[in-house]
Amino acid sequence: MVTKLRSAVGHMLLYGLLGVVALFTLFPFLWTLRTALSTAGSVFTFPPRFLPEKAGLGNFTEVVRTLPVGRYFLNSVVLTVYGVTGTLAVASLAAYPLARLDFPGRNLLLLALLGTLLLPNEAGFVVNFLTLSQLGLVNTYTGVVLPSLASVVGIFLLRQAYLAIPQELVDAARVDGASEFRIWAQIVLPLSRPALAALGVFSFVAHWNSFIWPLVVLKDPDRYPLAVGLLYLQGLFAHSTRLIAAGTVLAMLPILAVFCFAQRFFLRGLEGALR
Amino acid sequence: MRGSRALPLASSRPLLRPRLRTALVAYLFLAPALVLLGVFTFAPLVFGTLLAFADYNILRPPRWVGLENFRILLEDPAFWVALRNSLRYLAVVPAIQLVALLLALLVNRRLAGITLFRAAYYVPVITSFAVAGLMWNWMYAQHGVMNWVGLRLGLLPRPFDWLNHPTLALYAVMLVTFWKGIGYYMVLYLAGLQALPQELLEAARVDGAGRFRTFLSVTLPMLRPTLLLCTLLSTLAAVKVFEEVYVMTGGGPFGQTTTALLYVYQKAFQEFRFGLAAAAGLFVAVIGLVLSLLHVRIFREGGLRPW
Amino acid sequence: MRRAVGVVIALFLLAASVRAGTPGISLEFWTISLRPFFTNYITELIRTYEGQNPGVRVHWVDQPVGAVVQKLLSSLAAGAPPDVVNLNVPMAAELAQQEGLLALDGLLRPEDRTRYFEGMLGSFRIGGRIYGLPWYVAPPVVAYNGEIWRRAGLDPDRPPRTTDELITYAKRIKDHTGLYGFMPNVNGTNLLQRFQEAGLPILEDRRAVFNSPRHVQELEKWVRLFRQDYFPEDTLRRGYLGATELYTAGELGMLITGPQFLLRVRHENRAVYDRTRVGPYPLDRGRVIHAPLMGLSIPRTTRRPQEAVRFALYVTDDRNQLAFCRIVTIFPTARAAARDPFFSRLPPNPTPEDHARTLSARQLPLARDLTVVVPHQGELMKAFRDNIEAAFFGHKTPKQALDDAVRRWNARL
Repeated sequence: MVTKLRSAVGHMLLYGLLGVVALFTLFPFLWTLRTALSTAGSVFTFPPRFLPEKAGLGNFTEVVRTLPVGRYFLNSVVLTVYGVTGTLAVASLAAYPLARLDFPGRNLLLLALLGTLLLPNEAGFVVNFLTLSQLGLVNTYTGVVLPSLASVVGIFLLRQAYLAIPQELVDAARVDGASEFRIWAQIVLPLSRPALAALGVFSFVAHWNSFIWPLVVLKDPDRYPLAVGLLYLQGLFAHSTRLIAAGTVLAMLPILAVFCFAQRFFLRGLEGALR
Repeated sequence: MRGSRALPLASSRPLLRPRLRTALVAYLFLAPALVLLGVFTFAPLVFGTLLAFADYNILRPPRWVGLENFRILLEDPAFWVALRNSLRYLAVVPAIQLVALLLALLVNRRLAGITLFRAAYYVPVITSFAVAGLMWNWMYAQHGVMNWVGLRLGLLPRPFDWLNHPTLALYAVMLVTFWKGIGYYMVLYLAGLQALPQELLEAARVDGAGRFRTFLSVTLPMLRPTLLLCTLLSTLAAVKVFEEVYVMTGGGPFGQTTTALLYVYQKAFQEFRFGLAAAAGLFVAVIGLVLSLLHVRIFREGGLRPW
Repeated sequence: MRRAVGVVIALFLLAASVRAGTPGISLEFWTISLRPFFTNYITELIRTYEGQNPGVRVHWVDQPVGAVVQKLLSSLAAGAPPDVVNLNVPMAAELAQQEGLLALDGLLRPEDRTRYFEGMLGSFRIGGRIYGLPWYVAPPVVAYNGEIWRRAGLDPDRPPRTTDELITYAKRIKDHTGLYGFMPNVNGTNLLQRFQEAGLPILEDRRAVFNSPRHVQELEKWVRLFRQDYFPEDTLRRGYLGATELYTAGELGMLITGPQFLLRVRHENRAVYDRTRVGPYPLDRGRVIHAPLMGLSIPRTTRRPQEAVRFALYVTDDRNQLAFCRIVTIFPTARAAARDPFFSRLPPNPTPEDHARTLSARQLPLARDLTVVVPHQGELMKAFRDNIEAAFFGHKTPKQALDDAVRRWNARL
């Protein structure tokens, strides 16, 4: 009886603690949602009002009416799909020899890759833009995604996952005369699905949210992704806090949805990666 | 390294040809990554390093100036303030790591609705810096929620602009880094915890060790690879902090929240002094390198090889 | 899996082949943050121009305000700049100093120059040469909340005429209502303009001179008001954006701003908008008003300087300026356009915007863009701003701050 009571109290305390932390992590988003849903009154009152005033979707329809949100959204989808597939392809190929083949220069390569994580790359901005314009890739989606396709963190993540695959499986395939490419494609990749999912989510977030680089590379506003297009809400003539809040919520919803959907995968993937 | 076991067949054949073949196959696999990294990561790194010895504004060709940029840097008090702030920023690392680890322990159990809490903690991670900056600007404004809470709790004498306070602004920005970071590292710790062999934890419990004892003597030592990874990533991120500061204070008031990388950015894109920016960038790189070597060393003394 | 790789490669090739190609004589025209509200105006403008000039195509690109300098810089570096680009005076000054812009002196006929107010064209004279054609200007007015004024015992029919009066009113509002009276434009480098409005010099013979006793007094005045909490801290970090927010919330007595921001007040808080009255910008001893100016510049490496100038002249001609001013409360930089009765006559049932327009039009001859242009613009402005902020936060005395800033400037001038 006493232990039961103690565990009930413990549970309550635990949920209380979890709830407080959740309030901290979610509050800015909820506050933005409140602002986005208020259609009247002032945005900044003191003391603050925690529920929307004249709640409605007016701000959202206004954003959709003033900006080609649908188009931006599609652009974002295209860019993100392009970026995620590319990142996965490049990293999953590169991680294979680094994990499972013995070849000259491997250790040097691993060190060099780690080095890129340490060094800041402020010149990258300018040099990469010049390179892209030499290649004629300015104002293309390829130009936007290409510089970030080879993700060093991604390569390491997948390498760790590949290392965890039992050697016997690979050996058996080699005895059967399978090529390294087939081993990679038919044994290693399917077994690393959770890690691939994890990297997929990471790179989805990165590509969906990126706005500085697309802004620099893309000339044509019709090609802007959502994160860039919403900058127009903070213009010279119309800087409406409620519309910005609504735009912010619109930009975050897809990523929230993807995360909720991929969450299970995601945790399992990291598990494999860190073993 | 585990990969060295990878060629059982190769060792039974004549040496040269299979080795060559393996190398060829390996580099074919690596080719896309190496080409991309070479063009978009290593080339700018080399160029950036060279620029540190030049005067360059993008529009005119670079002019070599030797060590001039470094002399200017060392004499610029603003640069030292920026370095000091970047080092101060390291204070956020233990805070994030401790809370993230505790959170991971809290949510690493079967409870109704626990996945919802995990997701809630991850929301800041998937929020872009542009959006996070906007949201927290509203939070910290003189008429914002933070002031209201502070007043209600009797912690503040009067509302003020948090992001414009000469000493507190940097810590206000750190709180945002903390907010954005705990979910990220929580997931990494959670993954590490779930990968631990359950038998060992069971054994400890059977031996009569309490929860706390089990954590200290079994869980924590076995989590060490994850701890190393997380603290290293977090340390480097703190030294290289840029986005939070850029979107919230822009380095002000009077440079009191300028961090090293923000200084680099300002020199490059506001003053068009790319050579000076590159020199400052080199400084940051060296600091990052020293810190990570120290870091790995500390962990290695505990008998761990990081990679 | 192999098929997936194939798909990725195909995607690469596909995306690489989608590239903007423009045949014939084509001009690229960049504006700043005019989408989405002025899309119709600009496209109509371009269509008419293309109709009048067969064979010329104008490709319009609107850049978000925060990105335009970086994008221009990278496009210049890549050798593919726009032909005509919308810049404000500080941006034009910086890019002209980095040798990114074309000097227009040789390309303008005398009658092209006399079309504009002399002071406004003069604002684009950087290092003795003209680097931009003035396009539109937004001189400030004082919008005030009549309700708060009444509570403070002020007469809403008597707006402040001078800076001293403005300060007296602001103090009275704070003392009587507890709400802030104003958020003066003293943040960042605005004090450089403030000095000039007060009739104080910045540069003499290429030396910085803004540390005279009178300059120090001016700074001391604002620092004292700040210390006595007569204007909020948000002022120093967020400037007019913070002010607009606070005013819109009904928590600020007066808003000193370009009249185009009344639109935002109307949009966000109708109640406050309905109580809003508008007065002229209070004058100081300098009898000059800082009015942020927008212009059109031509990048130095454009392949078609003649056509670019022609188009820029067209966009800034009387008719097109007037048409622009009719859709938003901004002002022409061309003399003839400014004489239009639209700017002097109030319509029946005038809105605050209508009042603002007629008031500003009367002050237009006093309006100039007072942006100070010096070599090493970015560096020196940062030095100035940092020192002023240090003075406001009590880390330096006003005298020490101005002395330090002047020393930094003169070391680089």
